[in-house]
Amino acid sequence: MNFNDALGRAADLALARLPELQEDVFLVRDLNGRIRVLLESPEPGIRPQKAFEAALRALAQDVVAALGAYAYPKKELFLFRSELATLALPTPSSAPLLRTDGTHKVCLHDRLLMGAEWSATPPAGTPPTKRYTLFSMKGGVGRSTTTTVLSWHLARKAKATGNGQRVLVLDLDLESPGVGTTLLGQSLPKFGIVDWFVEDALGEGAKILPDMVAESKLQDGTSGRIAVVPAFGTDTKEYLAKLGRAYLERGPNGREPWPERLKRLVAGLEAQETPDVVLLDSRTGLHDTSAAAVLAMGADTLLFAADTRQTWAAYEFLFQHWKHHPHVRAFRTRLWVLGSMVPRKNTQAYVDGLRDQAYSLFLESVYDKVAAGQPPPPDAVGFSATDEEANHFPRAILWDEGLTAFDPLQQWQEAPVQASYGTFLDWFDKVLLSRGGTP
Amino acid sequence: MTTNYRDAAVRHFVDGDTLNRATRHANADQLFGLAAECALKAVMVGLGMQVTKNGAPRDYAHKVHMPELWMAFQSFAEGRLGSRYLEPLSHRNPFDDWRVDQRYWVSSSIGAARAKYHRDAATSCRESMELAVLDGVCR
Repeated sequence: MNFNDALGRAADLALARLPELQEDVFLVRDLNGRIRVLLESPEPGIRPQKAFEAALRALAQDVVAALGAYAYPKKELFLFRSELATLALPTPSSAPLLRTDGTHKVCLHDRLLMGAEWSATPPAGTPPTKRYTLFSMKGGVGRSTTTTVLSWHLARKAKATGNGQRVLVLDLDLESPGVGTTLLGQSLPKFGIVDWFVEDALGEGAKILPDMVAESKLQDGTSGRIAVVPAFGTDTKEYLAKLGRAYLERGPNGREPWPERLKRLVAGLEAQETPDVVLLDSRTGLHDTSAAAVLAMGADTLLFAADTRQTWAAYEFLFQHWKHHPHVRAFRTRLWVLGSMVPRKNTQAYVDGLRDQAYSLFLESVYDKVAAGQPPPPDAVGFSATDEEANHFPRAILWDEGLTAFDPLQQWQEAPVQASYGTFLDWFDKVLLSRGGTP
Repeated sequence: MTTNYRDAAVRHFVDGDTLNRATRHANADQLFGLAAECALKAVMVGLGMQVTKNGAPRDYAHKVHMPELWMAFQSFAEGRLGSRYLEPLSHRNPFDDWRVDQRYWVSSSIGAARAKYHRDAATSCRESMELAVLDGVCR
């Protein structure tokens, strides 16, 4: 028995007792990885008392004997919702399903110190402003450079009014800030995102909002606007002291999940700056703040991928998790694969490799697999590997030496940018910019 | 005698509700303050607060009632784990005006509004404790 085996074993044992328990059962796996059973109430209700008590005793016996250190002792094995009356506990429709006998379910409630946001429910509907999250599993794949190029491209791009787009860029990579300084150089605003989280916890966030935005010189010569909210500003001072408090799940009115706080920040900035497009440069990897940017913002997400084993292994963890996400249908069509740093030699073969890897990832987790002869569900999503409109189909950004150590404020590299990003930007305009949000 | 802060927190809260419903606000208010204290002490034990054989806090700074315990908890519950249990609580100390000595006060000095205010605050302390129970931090 180890951590890997314990949950499945406990789920099998709970499944076997469902007919006697006659209710949905939650397995709670605590921060240590120890499992116990959450039921509605210790009262038998409409069930015969003796049979109910016998079922509890038998389940406790089974679980404790099978799981050993991976379960609570018998006396503490059961938790009841009535003991946890102040908490909004998950329901069977909002929790990962482990087993079912067709009438009742065995669900999981996993307690995590970090990472729970990858299971969050995405918001319903489309946000009023178009939002795009740029996410990479590994660093150094050109994510912040792409944010920079995209902001410049959109500022130049004429809308129906004849003006370029008003772009708002947020540097959410708080552990490794980048795009803020790339776009602003020394001309930072007084405060940044890390300051807002600290001030907001004390109810003072609104005061600094006007001092968190600066315009990038990159907008010069365009008819649009590039407004940038960096991670830190000129008056931030104690960055680590603020970063150490930035992820507190407590807002001015008490407990508030971090993604909700981020949503308030972004909505506040959108109201203040009235952008057409918001670009969220996310932190790298499986961090809760990345999950907030990918899931909670109602954004289309660009998933950066270089064709390396470690990239796919990491994406595999995430997509396998999403396979059991109860609301995966709500966000799977907002995930788009980007092939980054694509070599100029054997380009097609490289892109084909990326495509096949991405297809296998999507097919095994978020696409629908419809059995032969069965009608597909009404919102079915399934593509062939080579379908260029598919979410998994990689939009290639070519590697270019001219963009190495790229400092756009010193010298804009028009030719390398076009050569690298031309195909991607065309696709972005045609497909993503025309989707959802206020035009 | 066995000390069990989790059990005591629920008992004081439930009894406070019973008294409150019977418009016995003065003693209800007293119990809500004690319920809050026990809930936070239950979390503190889970987070490693040292206790004597009888379950009393060893550190003199933790051997206090409300409102001092509220402040003690704010400094105690730090770090990635501890701050989880700080999150349900408000910044302002809602027990500023609560005293363990109010058991000596005249009944008319504690009304329904005050009892409700402290009940809400005690509920947030229970939330903190219940999170710790679900996490396996508080047994």
